[in-house]
Amino acid sequence: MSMGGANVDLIPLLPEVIYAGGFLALIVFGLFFRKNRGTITAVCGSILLVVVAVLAAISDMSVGLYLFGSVVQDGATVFFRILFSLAAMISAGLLLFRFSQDAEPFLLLLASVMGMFLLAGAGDIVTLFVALEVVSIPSYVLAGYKRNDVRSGEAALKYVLYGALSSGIMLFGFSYLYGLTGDTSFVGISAQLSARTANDIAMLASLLLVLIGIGYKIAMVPVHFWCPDVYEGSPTAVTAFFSVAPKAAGFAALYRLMVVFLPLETQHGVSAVLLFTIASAVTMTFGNLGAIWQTSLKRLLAYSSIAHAGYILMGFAVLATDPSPDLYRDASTAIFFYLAVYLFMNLGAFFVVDFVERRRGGETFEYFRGLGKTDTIPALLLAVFLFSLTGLPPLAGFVGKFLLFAALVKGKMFGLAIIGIANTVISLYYYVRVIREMYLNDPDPELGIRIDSGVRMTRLAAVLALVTVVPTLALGLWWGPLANWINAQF
Amino acid sequence: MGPLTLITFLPAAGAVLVAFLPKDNPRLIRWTSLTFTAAVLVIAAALYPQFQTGLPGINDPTSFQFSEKASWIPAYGIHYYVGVDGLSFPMVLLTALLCFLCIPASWGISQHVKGYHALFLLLETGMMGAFVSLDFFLFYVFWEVMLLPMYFLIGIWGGPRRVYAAIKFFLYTLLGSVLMLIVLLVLYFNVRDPQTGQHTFNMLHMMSQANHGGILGIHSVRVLLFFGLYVGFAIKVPVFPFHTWLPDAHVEAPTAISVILAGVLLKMGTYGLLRISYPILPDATRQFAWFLALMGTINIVYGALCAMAQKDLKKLVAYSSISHMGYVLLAMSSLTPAGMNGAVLQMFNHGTITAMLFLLVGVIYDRAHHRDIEGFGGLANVMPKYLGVTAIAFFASMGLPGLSGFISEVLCFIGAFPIWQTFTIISICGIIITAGYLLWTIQRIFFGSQNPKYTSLPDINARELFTLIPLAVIVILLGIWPHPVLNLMNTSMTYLGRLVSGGLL
Repeated sequence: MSMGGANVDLIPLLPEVIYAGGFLALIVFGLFFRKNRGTITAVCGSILLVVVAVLAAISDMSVGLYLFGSVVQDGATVFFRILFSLAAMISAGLLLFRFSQDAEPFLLLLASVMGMFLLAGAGDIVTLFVALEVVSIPSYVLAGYKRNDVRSGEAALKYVLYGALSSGIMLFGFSYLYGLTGDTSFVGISAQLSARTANDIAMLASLLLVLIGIGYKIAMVPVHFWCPDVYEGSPTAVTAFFSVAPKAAGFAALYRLMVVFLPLETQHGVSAVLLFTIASAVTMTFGNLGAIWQTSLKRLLAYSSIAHAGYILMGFAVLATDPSPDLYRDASTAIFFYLAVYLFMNLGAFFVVDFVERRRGGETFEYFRGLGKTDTIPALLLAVFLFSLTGLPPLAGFVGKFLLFAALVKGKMFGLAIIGIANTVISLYYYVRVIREMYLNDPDPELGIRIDSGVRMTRLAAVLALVTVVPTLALGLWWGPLANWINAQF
Repeated sequence: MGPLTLITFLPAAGAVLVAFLPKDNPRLIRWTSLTFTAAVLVIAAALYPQFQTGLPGINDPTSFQFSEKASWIPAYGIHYYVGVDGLSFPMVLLTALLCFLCIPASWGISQHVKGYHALFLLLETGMMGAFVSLDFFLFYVFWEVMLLPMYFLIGIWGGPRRVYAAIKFFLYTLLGSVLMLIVLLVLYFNVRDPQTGQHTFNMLHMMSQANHGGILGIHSVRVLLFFGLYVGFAIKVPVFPFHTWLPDAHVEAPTAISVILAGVLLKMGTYGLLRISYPILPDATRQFAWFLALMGTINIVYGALCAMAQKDLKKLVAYSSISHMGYVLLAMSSLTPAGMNGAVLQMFNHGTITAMLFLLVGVIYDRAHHRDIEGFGGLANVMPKYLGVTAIAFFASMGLPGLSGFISEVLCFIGAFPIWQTFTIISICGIIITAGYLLWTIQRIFFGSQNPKYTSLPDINARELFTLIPLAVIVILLGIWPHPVLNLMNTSMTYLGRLVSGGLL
């Protein structure tokens, strides 16, 4: 690793540069069309995303720090670029069902992804903060895109207020870190913190502030309050995007920041391991318990996404032990594999929820009653996604959990593993509640649900269903190649 | 493709085929699934003469039969590794037989026929796979694959409280299996393949104590692992106090599913203990054999007492299963040759006997639409053929000499007595209670004053007899001449007993 980082080569940022250029061109290009501006933007944007993903995958870029240490180029950067491109493409497909005439939702989504790309390679706190804001600001607008819907407005307002607060808290933490170390790059801060001996309270305070700031982005308990309300109020396709992409971006930021957390070790025994173990245990437990009482699918999936953030944090708890290179690689593989699998199964679940909402007019439990009899294929798809989210073999969600638990067991963190297991059982209960509504209960004619027969499995819907369900099934049975590929990135 | 792969995945292929058949032709669907289960039974039966009874299997890779091995996820040392020995082969035969008989027993299912048969076939794949797997990861996958179809089969086609019973079953068994997952991972990270030095999920490598390293050297860790596995398997058996899901599940499940649940799924628990806990952690097994014996005794007596108190015929049979699985636990805890053989023979015999019992409950329920023992009376005159078959099943369950239950129960007690005198004596009291509740039940249903409501009930019909006669023949045959099944397991089980008790060291 070239520690000096005085390399001013722009080559590692080539995908971002191309993407930014293409994005600006797309804004102008869209203006030449009157009709189907959404479709055109989505298609062109997807092409752009494919180009970036392919560039990221094939270009042989040397690992290291660039642009005075503000940009990191490594396997994780490559992985996240591909992950964000995929998430954005599938989300764009979901948005098309409602917004095929407007270019704006797609442009906002693409702008947000720009920030994610930058975030994936952030090497110092300034880049990280700016990138996170680029991710967030378009998201606020997206949350409130249903202008005439009060709840959508509420969602946007909550998102903005909480987001601004969290950014502020994080920035406050960063300012302390800079004050303590006089450095902005993660590696530099980490080295300075490791050398410190006295006054570790300041260190603890600054790192806690940073963790809370990031915690907002990934909906970590106790800073998760915004999540169910924002998810419920936003247009469902937007919620799908929120539940996957900005969340993965938050984890990308946390992954980069881990090196800063490692030196934490106060005289009271507060260490990075303790911090992340508690964060993980509390997040998954509260997420799962919260989900039990929900009657709206979107809120249920919001709580479930909190729980899944907790599961992924288990992997970070292993990273926080400053493990051997071998275990470091295993834990990172588990985290990244989980993020990839979560992308497919969660977007898939939201795809079905969105479908039912458009076809039957709502997304609370009664709209799913007897779905297995009336809409066989969507019900079957949702069942697959929910069982995968539970983590039952032979579905991909199981493999994700398996790898996370394997990392925990290898790191001998049995306590957290047991909590994770208990949570898996709790989560089965509420996922199965949805299954029960779909298959065990009969359709209730008294509810007066009017089916919009115009909404059916169109070609676009079929493509989206296949793109999400095939990986969910295939990665459950044949996950060696992806796990190996991720493993080779470290 | 070997025969074991074929019998494992043929039902799954059948499930896919059934899913694509037209919904409005239930006859075609039923016959398709009958064909597939019959094919599995034929293949399994064809393996019977080829099975070499002299090979022990258990921890010896060279003496596993019909084995197949292929790399699945090489980076994690996961293999598709299947094979059978004297412990698993009787279970494979039992599964093939009961699944085949359950299709005619499900002929009366008229709601969502397609879904029912597709899920049923998927369930068969899960059960077969679990019995033939020799790779722990593969075993775990099949183990969990059984859960999903079972949930739907109880939850959609079950009785009035089906929703509650189904989720209770699902949560209990998932809790057990995720605990097993942690044990599985601890074993994986502390066992190395002697040839490659890589971590491995191969059960046979796990059984070789020389391959154990890391924290597996710590005794308390081994005890914790033993109990982790124990809870996972005990929920399935089910052992007191994890048994409460069973009566609910049985009462609500449709007849054929009760048969599978009691006939095959319960055996998964004791099979797992024998296949995994025993040879991988023999020291912990020896140390806590008394605990298994104690739990077996509790199961026998408690199950029998509960059965006696039941008013619902199906619940009575469910509790009798808890009691009869106690014999298996008691016998296998002794580690003696008679005990080990008795345990597996009892697993096989209980599978056939209890299948008959549940089928018979189904017969009467289909006619009277209730299962209240007190609500019948004097049926002997109305349904004489039904009485005949019921008598065979009840007497076999009671352990009457000449029927198969007797042989295995005697073997269980002969094996257990030298090691656990007190437990065995208490358990034998369980037999008396069993005889009590079964005879009392026969008396209340078939004799006494005739209930005027049921004077014109039709007797047992040909389709029902078709499912019951093969089982009755097996029960009688094995009661007189148990060797066709006993010979299969003898070498393996004697070997396993000596392996665990330290006789082979």
